[in-house]
Amino acid sequence: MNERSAGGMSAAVVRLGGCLAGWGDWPGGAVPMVERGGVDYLGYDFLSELTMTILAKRRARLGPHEGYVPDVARILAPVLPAAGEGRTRVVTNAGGMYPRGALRKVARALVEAGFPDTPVAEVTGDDVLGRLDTFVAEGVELTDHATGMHFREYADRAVFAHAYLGARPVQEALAAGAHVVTAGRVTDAALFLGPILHETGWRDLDRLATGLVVGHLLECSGMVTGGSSNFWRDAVDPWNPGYPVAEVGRDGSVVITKTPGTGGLVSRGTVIEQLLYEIHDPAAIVSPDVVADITAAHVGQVGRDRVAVSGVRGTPAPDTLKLLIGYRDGWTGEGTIMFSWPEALDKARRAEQILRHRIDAEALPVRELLFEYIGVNALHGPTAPIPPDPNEVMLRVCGRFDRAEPARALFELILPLFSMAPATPAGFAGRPAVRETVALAVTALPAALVSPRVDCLPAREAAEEE
Amino acid sequence: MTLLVELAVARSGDKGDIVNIAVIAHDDAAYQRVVAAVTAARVKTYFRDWVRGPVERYELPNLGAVNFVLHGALGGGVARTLRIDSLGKAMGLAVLRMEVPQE
Repeated sequence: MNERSAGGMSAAVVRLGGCLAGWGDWPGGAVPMVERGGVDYLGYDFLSELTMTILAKRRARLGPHEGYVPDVARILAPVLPAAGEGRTRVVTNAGGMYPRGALRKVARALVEAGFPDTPVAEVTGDDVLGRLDTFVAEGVELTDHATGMHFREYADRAVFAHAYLGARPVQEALAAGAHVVTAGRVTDAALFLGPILHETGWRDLDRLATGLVVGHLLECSGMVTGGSSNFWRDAVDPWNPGYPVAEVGRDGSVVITKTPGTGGLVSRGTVIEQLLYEIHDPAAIVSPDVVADITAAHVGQVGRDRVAVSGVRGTPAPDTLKLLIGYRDGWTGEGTIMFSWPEALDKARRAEQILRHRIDAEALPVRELLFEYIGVNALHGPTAPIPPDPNEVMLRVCGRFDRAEPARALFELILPLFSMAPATPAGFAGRPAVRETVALAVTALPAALVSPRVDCLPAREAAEEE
Repeated sequence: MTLLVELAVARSGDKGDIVNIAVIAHDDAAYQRVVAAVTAARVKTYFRDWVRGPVERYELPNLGAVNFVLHGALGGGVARTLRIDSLGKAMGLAVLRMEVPQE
């Protein structure tokens, strides 16, 4: 049992809030938790596979001292006073590819808010980009699990490589006294399992797996409290949802709930939706800390907006970590154009035909081309039934290119459709959307090759760096 | 025939080029019908060229749910796909239009 718990070591229950499902989520979800929720830990998950590619592009454009979430201080602003006062602790992976940058921004905000002595910590060690060549030389198989491609095929185009760290370094940062943690690529669930381990000292595998599942349920914020839900009609005041709060007992009991007086919904249905979100084999939910098995788990409503989760079992974690490698893989260009009833779908199909001929005539070097009919089949693809005569259809074209210029040129071929296509093109698409693609490879790395590091210091010291 | 939407809800999620679809039945009777009717092979066929790899199915009677894991299902994954639904968010709901035999 740890002596420096935010919630007080005598408390039988640790309360954790899931505040952010990703960079861009609503920062207001944490406000009721700190104002009246009595929440001991707030977890902010900023990172996804796509966010890693966005941060990598920022770093490539702006330099090695970038690659963290640049507006982290703005997003955490509503909860920093509570962290400064020691009423709650804040755990984030806002560090992305440069945790020190996020740490300094948060530290400066704490100093400005009048909390210069508040301990802050970074978690690093996940960035292994500079070591991949050595790993290969030492015989580590860096083969993408999905495509079978080996790292050497794109080594010269690699822009980032991060091993997914587990909850232990987060736990260590909290043990060192940190009130705010800016980690790099720790797993989403580690933002919550770290505090749970810090508070409980759990070592039993079933308990660890229970903590992992709590993290999984909290890491997507409102997606467990009625957001993105099939049960959306039952969610009250969805413009002001309560983001999730987990009550974790030292006996291993778990209740998922939300702050009283907030909107949204916590039901057996919303919890099962999120429990199964982004998982594969439910008997083997793998993490760096434990493998969870939910095939005997029980999920039951125990009160209004209160759902208990029990029966999660655990087996030992593998001796490898997930390794995510990003590499440059060309450019995409896209554009849209709309058509009106009557015969909107046939007109959009004619526009596709025109565009394909123009692409051939201009000899645009396209590697791959996709046409989608928004309003007809963009979301359901080949499973979509064709509606009789829709009122409107938006044609979207997206192409993959080796270079940026032809990606832009694709958009320039769309504009003349306003003079060529059937009656009548509408909905001028504005500026072209041209993006560099950072493709992702996923492989495994022996955990022994990765050394997580924790650095904890007073906010004032971190704020004065640089 | 009944549409699956009468028996269940669904949520899908992505990891790389893999999409999982959790089909969560309304009650025990609906769960039995889902298990009997919605096989991995049917889901694979249903999505045609959108799913290039194998489909696995995991049964969760304790939750009244079935989890499908679709490999090669996102046109290369969120960072690479040309699709507007780059996360495969709507693929779960697409499954709900599958037909299930009457009891």
